[in-house]
Amino acid sequence: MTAVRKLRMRNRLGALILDGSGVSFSKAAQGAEEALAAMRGGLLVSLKEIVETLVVDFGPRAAGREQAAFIEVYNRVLNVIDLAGAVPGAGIDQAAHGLCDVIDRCAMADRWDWPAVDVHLASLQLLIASPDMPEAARRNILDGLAKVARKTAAD
Amino acid sequence: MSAGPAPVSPRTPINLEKVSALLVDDNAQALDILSQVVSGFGVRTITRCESGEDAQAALRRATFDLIIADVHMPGMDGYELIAWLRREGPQPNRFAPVLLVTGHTRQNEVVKARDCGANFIVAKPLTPKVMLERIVWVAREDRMFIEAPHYVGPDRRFRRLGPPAGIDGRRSDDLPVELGDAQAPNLSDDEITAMLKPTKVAL
Repeated sequence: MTAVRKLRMRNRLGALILDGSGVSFSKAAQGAEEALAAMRGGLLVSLKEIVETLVVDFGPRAAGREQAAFIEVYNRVLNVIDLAGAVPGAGIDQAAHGLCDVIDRCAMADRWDWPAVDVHLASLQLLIASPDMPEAARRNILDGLAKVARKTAAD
Repeated sequence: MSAGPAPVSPRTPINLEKVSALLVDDNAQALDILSQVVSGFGVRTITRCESGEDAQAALRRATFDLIIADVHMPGMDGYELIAWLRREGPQPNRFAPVLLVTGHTRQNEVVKARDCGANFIVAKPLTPKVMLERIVWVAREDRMFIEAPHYVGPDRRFRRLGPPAGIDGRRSDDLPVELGDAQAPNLSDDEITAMLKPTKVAL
């Protein structure tokens, strides 16, 4: 029989933060929202640079992109998701998640679906360039990407 | 029957001023975002590390009340860091609450996070509200700490997920899972919550 030990540990974090003092949950969250909002301009510039580099390396004009490793492209798209939280509601994270899904499926099939990748990269560029675009336009873009992702899954 | 903490009220008073947090992410800008969010909550003592190896050194040097680490890092990744912490890490850090964060949350990543000993996994992009909910969640939870040959960490008995791959379950409702490398769409934070919520089970 294997030995299993069960320990009841004191939750130090709970004792520290739930002692009845401090600010309300909503005020603490608001403090962080404000801190994040201050970073938005700089992070949009970084997001633009990351996606531009992706387009140069893996876009329609990239030489030798057929040899690109799935994991390399995937990891670089994760960098977009890393920063997308600073631009809430812009749909950048959704487009990047969709691209990760597409890359996962390409990896499973062991072949690139470049039209699906290209449309996601172009959409990311558009969403980053116009973070305040009308909601209907953004919804159209994201719905279109969802259809592309479904098609990639079905192929 | 659910054994997870009750939902957080917007009026719940919280005080993170005395909390010492360790933040780990290889992407410097992502680490900036995480630091801004955590300091925005009121945390004053923040240690930043850009690799799992640096985090190991920090964990040997100081005591932390909360650890937040990215999953995808070159070298030692987030899963390896937390598995090391739970098995070989210095006390009391070994028992500290751990949140893993990940950009593209496949189902197998949630299971890996559970099996390496993390308390919770949070999907990027990080939003302050969700991150604070998860911090309060782990602050309020009352899970036993388990030390077993194949697992060290918070009790991970969940009704729906069954035993880790390769290990026979001991309960009648354990599911025979062969997870492998799931290629499933990204999971939302709500879906992760549904997977990780502790549930009392009849043994």
